Amino acid sequence: MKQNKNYNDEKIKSLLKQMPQVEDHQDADDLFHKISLQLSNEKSVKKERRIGWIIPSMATAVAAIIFMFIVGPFSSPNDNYELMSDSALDTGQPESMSGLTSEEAELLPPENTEEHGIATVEESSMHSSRAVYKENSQLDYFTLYVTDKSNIEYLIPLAFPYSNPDDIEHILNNVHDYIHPEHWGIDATLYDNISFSLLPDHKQVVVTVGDTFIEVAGSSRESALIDALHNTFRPLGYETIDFNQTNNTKVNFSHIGSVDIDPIPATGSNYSYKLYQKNEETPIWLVPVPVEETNVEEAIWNLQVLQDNEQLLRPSIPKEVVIEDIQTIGNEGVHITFAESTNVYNSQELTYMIDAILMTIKSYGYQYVQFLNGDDAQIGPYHLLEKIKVPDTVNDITYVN
Amino acid sequence: MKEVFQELYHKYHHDVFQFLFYMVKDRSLAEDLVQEVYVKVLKSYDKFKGESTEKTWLFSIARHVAIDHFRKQKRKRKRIADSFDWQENGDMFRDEGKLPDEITIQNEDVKHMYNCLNKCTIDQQSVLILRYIQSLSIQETADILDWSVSKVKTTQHRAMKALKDFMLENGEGMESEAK
Repeated sequence: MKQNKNYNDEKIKSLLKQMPQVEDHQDADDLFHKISLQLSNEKSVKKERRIGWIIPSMATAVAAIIFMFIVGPFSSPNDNYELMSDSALDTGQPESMSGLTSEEAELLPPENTEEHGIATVEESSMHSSRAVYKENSQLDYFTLYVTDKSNIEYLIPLAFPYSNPDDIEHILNNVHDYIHPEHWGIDATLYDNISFSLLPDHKQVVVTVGDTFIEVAGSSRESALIDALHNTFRPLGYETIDFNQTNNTKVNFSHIGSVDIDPIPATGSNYSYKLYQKNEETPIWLVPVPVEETNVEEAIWNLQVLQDNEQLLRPSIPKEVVIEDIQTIGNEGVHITFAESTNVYNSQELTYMIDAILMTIKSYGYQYVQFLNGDDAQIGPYHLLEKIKVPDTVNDITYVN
Repeated sequence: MKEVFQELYHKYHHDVFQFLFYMVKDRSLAEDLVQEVYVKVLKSYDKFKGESTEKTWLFSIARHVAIDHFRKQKRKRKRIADSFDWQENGDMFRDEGKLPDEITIQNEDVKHMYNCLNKCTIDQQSVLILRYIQSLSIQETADILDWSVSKVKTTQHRAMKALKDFMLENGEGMESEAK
């Protein structure tokens, strides 16, 4: 028996119009951040696609280099370099670009130029760099420092992309939504029970520390938090941190005592950047290790060795690389001369080596490095024999998402 | 980019989200899909030529995102069921989870309609949602679906009939079960 309902057209229309309004409960800012990250991730994938595409053209370039060594043994290293650069450009760029759709080409970041010693993506090999150059990206970056593990040996910088300065506060207050500690082999519990309010006009950050942090944090955790915040906010132009507890009283840390308005030192410490990888499943991160050395030469030598307390790290300069000389050029540049016996070739390890050297000299205030006596014109994205500008930051999270 | 997002969000977010929600009948899935819609929109915003209105452009992208989702779902499940007529049996592949809060508080007729809407084809649902839940005109609906006005009218007529039949058939089934 049919149901005794009069479902005529008018009734159906009326019921359809009665269907309730359904609201999206997502916060608009949250949604925008997810979208930004997705766009940024897609951009990274496109970069990798392009890199994969240029392997044949890189092979052509390598063949051309070998050919030049065979036919031009009397040319000077500098002459070789000029020829190699031209060859790489001629064989790499046009072929790569032709492999892209117009949409893909449009979405790619503005191309860098040779003047900073950074190869365009088309020219670079498959070896990825951890360095971040804002001019290569459509987004800006800020760097948040997390830790290697909950009992803290090192601070690990993570570069977060953002498109609007207001986004920084949002990311900081929702940091656990943006990172994946287990997959990345890092720890972000340093920011549990901590909230941020940024006052850029006053160059001040208001940090509210939950009671739980105050009660359970050891002295290393308290110091790590303060160091991490100094390193995070100094590059953003902030000058002070106003620490508060959730009950609006001033913070009284269990170990380091009362902290009220904490001035951010105008300059950071000096660091040697080494490599950290929790296990084979997790990414490799460049990690700044504080150094006592007052000169940059010692800090660079230090990249090849591990101190007793650095068991979790790897040297960033492989032992096979023999550096003959390191010289500073004024206050801006560092020249590094490889020994004749050193075979400097395009590899992932040497790409990390250059990343680490650049960040190390940056912590000493230098602007560029130039390698002398190298065998190869290009390592990863770097033109080895040109002046290579220091990056803005390292460890772009969108490369590991 | 944020300014563009904010403007689109302010003007159309509610409507686009609601359209996706009624298409997929799942709040968290609709949240994922609306994100996908914005990603596609922001990637191609510079190419928007203004041949349609911003609103119909956005709805058109939302509809394609929903259809892409159904296709992916279909592909995923095709390993289990090799031969499958999507138009005829699409409802088999949609999750019949518990009713969302907004629906549970409605009267029985509305709840019944929500369940029956799911049994219409994708095209029929698109027309019914756009025309009667979103209150768009026939011309706007035609623009979004990239159909002629007459095709919208025909599909609307068939959709109304199909929905009416489902309402009666399922109502009868429900009554029998209740007895």
